[in-house]
Amino acid sequence: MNATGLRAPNLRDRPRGLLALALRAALVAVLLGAIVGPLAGLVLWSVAERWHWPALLPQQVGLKYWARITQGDLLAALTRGVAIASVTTVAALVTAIPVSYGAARARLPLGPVLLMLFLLPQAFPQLPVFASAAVLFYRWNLAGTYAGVVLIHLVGGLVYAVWTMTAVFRAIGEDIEEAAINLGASVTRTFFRISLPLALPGVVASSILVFIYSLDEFTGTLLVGAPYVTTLPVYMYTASLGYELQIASVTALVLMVPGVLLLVLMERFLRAEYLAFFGRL
Amino acid sequence: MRRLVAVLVVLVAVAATGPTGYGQSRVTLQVAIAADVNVVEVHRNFLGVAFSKNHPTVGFNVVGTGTGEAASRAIYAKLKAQADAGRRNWDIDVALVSMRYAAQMARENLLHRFTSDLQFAPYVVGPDTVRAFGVDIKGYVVPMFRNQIAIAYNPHFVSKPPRTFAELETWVRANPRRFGYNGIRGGVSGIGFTMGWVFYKTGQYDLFVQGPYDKAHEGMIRSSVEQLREFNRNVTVTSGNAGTLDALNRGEIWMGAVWVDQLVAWKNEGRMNPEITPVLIGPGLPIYPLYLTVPREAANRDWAARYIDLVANPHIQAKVIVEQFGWYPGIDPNRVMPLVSDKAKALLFRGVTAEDLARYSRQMPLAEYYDFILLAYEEIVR
Amino acid sequence: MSAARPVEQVLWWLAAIPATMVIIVGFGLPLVQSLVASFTRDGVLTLANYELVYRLYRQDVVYTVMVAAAGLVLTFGIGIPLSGYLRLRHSQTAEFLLKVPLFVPFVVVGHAMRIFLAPRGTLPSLLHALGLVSPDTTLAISEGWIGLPIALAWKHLALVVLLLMGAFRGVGEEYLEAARGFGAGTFRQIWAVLVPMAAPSIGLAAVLSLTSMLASFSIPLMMTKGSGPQMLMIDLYHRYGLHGDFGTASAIGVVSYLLAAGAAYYYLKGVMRQ
Repeated sequence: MNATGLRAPNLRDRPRGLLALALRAALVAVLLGAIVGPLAGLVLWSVAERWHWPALLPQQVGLKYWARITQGDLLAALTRGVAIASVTTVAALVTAIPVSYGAARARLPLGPVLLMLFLLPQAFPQLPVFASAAVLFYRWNLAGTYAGVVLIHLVGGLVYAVWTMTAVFRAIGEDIEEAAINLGASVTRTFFRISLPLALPGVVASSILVFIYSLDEFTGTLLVGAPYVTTLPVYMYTASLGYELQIASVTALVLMVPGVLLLVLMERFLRAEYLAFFGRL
Repeated sequence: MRRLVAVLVVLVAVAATGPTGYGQSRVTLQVAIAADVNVVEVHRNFLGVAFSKNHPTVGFNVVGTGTGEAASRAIYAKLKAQADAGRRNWDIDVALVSMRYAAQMARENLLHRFTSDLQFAPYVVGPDTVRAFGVDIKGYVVPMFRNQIAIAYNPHFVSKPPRTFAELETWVRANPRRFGYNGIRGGVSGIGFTMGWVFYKTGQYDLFVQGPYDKAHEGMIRSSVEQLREFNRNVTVTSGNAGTLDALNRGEIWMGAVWVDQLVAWKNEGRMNPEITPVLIGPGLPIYPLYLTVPREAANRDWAARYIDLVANPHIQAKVIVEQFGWYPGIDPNRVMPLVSDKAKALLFRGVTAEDLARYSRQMPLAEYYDFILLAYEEIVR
Repeated sequence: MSAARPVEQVLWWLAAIPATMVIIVGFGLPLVQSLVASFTRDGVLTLANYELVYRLYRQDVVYTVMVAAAGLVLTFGIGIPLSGYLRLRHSQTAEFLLKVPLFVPFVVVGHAMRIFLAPRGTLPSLLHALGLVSPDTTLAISEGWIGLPIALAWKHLALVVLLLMGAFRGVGEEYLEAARGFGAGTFRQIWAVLVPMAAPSIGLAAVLSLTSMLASFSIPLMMTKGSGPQMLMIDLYHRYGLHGDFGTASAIGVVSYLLAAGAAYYYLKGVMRQ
């Protein structure tokens, strides 16, 4: 009991009574069904070698369609997607860090305005803008090229790097940089030897966010890259459209792996604020 | 700071070159296929292999650009961009595109006239090699194979398939939701059915195919589309070419508008009940060839022509196109069919005979009529 | 630290150029071009594109708004009570489960829901096996319009719960204690204390979700139906992809900008306040 006589909150509050316990169990069960249900459908389809209505489960299961990961188109789309995501991540960090640092240290005039700029692509409907970008890219011979796809991924993904790094640089006190400068280090040296290493968790967080954004990006890749440059999401769309539901489901599950890994790593590198941006994927 | 800039420049350079930047010292034939994966495989595994055997010094690269009209559009957009930019040595040597985009590319002067250089030029015959959607395409195209839109039915449920649109209408009224097609979205099989419907209800054909476009006929088209809306009330509208086939296979629908070649491909892959049979209904349904073309400023025009010559070879047409894949030949059938085995012939003409094709196979209408019909459908039938 | 010297300011501006160029080239220019193109046809300034949009797609505008509204109602109708309950009662498992959809890409949600809710999909076959619902009912649901809002709500619920939990956790325990002192149960604590105090965050979350649902493309694309009303983005893709009609496609785009405009304005204002 504290001074006011109120009981301090206990994060492990036990539910009172049997009814409350039952309610909790029911809630978890319903959530489990609602969240896992659609995903379970994916898993079932990925192993269904033969499945006809109205059977609840496939008549014949096997890993035939999973074997497709190791061959042909699926593997090509996967490696392409990873390559593009890697380049996008590096490009995002390289271009974002100067802006973030400048804005965080209030050295960049109109810094806050600039930060808003990066939010715009997420505020507007993406398809019309990307369709228009595709028209421009065709004119500049950027469409159907890796560079074009990386560029369109940067448009939507840069915001994750910029905002995360700004928050991180703001959190690093200026006094440690001041101390270094007072000791005779140049601004550049201070940045590369002190600020950047201290910001490493933020760099890791930004990298993960941008990488996953790029890997999962669909609309821009569909308009700008397809059919010459395809990534996993576009491949999945084509398979689903062609009623190759098993392959589409395998691809869908493969696409989920980075996200699931991130969910598990979440506690270590990401704080809740970063997650709020992630939901706009 | 300097380091950052340097890294950035390097990154951009790496990204910009990409795999296409690592140029090849020898000639490589670039083939772009705007058709399904199975067509791409034919080029990669059969036609391309045969070509490479004959010409070992020439490299061969084939890429599929997707399915449906969007795939052809992607090729068109790329060629147009290069044309507008005034480039020489375009990056596609052979383009397999749909009739619609071949016509558009011919109209916009994006194609090279090459058929006169071919050994098998005399075999490239048929009204669809002269005009397409009202555009003069003679000399610009060689059909790789011909694609017929037909009505596929399940003999288990349909004992006596309809022979005319009128019979189909009656059947659909008696069996609601058992006929399916994909409307005008998701595939050209549904568009072809719509065109066939307009031919049927208006009783006109030459008007729409020869032209010229006459606004006076719009009313007639609109009223036929209004009747299509009524017809659709008893129909299952699927989400695309594959949707219709999938529904047929599951027995959700008993008849549907399909591509004959896609039906055959699905059967070969084991995705389709082998009982499903195609049939043509009067007054007719459109044929829709896939054309091999050579872009005007293609880097390797001569090699492209030689490759297309290979595909036009009656032996190749007989052994690969017809026997192996069960497609209708792209060149003169009289030159090809004698080389085809009887077994393959029986399979090819099961359900849709050569006579049926001669009687009921139709051309697509003029581009302006085609667009107007699609617009009317979007507005009236939705 | 003292303000940066003018030379340094210029250098920082230069360093910000690559990132800014990306946005200008990849977003700004295309946006302007689409605005101009929506008023252009055959090189002439005209309203013909908008006329066509009205003729062909006005029902789809209504449909899009209806679907987004339904999705919003579902998301918050479930999200607010759920977040409130979790704030008061705590359940690690439930919170974890609710985070899962955050990490499932939009396209995958579309495909998963397509399989799940299809006329012969996993959910109907499960209900059929359990003998709970007649096949006709499941068919009606699958072919009806409710599938899309369900899919949209499934994906957006995760983000909304995340934002709401953050806001609710920011509400001091003393207010809740006070309410409990007056005999308020869980329900009243949520609606009388948590919701009013977290109203700005709820508003922001609602705006974010609505914009996203109005402009949704990947999910409706995967769950596409052959006939009937379509989401506006599907019409746009059809116009541009099939017909190459960039003018009318842009007009549809401008309509969608307007629909999201009110929401976007509030979004930027709300974030700027932070």
